[in-house]
Amino acid sequence: MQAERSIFRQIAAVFIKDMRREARSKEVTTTTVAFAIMLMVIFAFAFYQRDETVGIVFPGILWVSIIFAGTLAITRTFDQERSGGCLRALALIPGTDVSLYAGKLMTNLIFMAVFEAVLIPLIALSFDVDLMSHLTEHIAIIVGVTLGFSALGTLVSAVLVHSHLRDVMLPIFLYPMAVPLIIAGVKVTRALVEQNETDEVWMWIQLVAGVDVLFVFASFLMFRWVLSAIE
Amino acid sequence: MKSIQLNEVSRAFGRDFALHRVSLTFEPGTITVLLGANGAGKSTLMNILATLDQPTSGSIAFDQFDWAEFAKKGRHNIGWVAHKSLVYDELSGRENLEFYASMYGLSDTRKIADTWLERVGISDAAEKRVGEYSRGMRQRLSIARAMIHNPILLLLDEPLTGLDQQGRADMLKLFGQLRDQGRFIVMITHDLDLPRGFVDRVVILRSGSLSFNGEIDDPKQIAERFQEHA
Repeated sequence: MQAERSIFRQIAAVFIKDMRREARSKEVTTTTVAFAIMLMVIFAFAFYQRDETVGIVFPGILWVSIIFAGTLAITRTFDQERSGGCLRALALIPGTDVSLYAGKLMTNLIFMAVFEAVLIPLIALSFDVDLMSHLTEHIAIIVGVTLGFSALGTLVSAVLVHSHLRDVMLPIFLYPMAVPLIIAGVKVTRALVEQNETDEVWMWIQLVAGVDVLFVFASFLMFRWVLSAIE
Repeated sequence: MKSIQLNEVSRAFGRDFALHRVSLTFEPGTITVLLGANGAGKSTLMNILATLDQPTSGSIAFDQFDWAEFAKKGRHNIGWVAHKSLVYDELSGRENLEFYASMYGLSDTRKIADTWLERVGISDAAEKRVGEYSRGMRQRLSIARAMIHNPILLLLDEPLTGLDQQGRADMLKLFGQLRDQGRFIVMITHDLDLPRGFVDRVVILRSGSLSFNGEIDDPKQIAERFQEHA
């Protein structure tokens, strides 16, 4: 019980520290939101044609924007720890193999939630897509994909923390593994925009939930080894 | 912990030995100064003692624990001042110490942080961001960070770097107090101008091997031994 309390305190400490830092620098939120809006504007001008093509174009634009902007946020996950050498200090503290990963995952989820809250309504407005008619399904798939992508991204970011090419390498490692999530996201969004059967939609959402469980569980297990290798 | 014993400890990187068959004993309530030229194996030995690097051969006994057990169960006993300050530039000095205190599961983190800021003499800069600290202030904070959880084993890699005369005297006094409380202190330094009686044992490494190991407390003698054995 004591140990569990301690782990939760550690997770909170990592999360609060990252939020405090971001509140001061605003580095991640400003860059990801600006990047996401820029992508949205380019795509909107490039692909918007007629109402009947919206079902094809909108899901792609939405998920490409989320994934690209999310990558920008995730790449920075361990920047503070790397520059100050803090990973070695943290490695000497019992329990950090769990709490550091969990705290960083929470931070990435918040960063992604912030730019998604700006980006998604803007894209929907640009393409005149009504998200409210299937709001529950939209939220379920966005939360599911965001969780899985962040879980995997946080782990990959830790693996690449000392690589000089981490900005280039992260998408190369991350995207192939995140393909099931991205495909599911596109399929569900398209089905919802085209007002298709929701049975298929929930099948994809369940698949994403299953992938999330796998990614989160495996990442927690693997982070211990990653931390011992990078310390 | 009654002693730390290294028995024929080696650390090889490929065919090269960074540390070669080093046998040593560290005792509580002593300051051991680790000397040697660049590449002599000092940092490798420190990393092994910090359980961040594993010996290739030989054994280490941290009391009843071997290296692997101590790495798993005893790391909270280690306080480490490294080359890098291991603190966050974007946070203030107090926030850094509060963060590490929370990570160690300590309660009343604010009080602990303030106590240590005062002990290392940077209370006035508690609210200032570390990115704005001078080199000496950063070093003092780094020392406070390493001590915040009251570790038994203190590993100090060039802890006097960047400190002015007053800072140097303050930190040496602090290390002396910690030694008197029964802690193991192992210190790498190139600064041999240490006060008489500060050092209990001198260990000199040369090309990864133990070149000298003896009890000396006179700074002149330490310098002479260093000239002879490094």
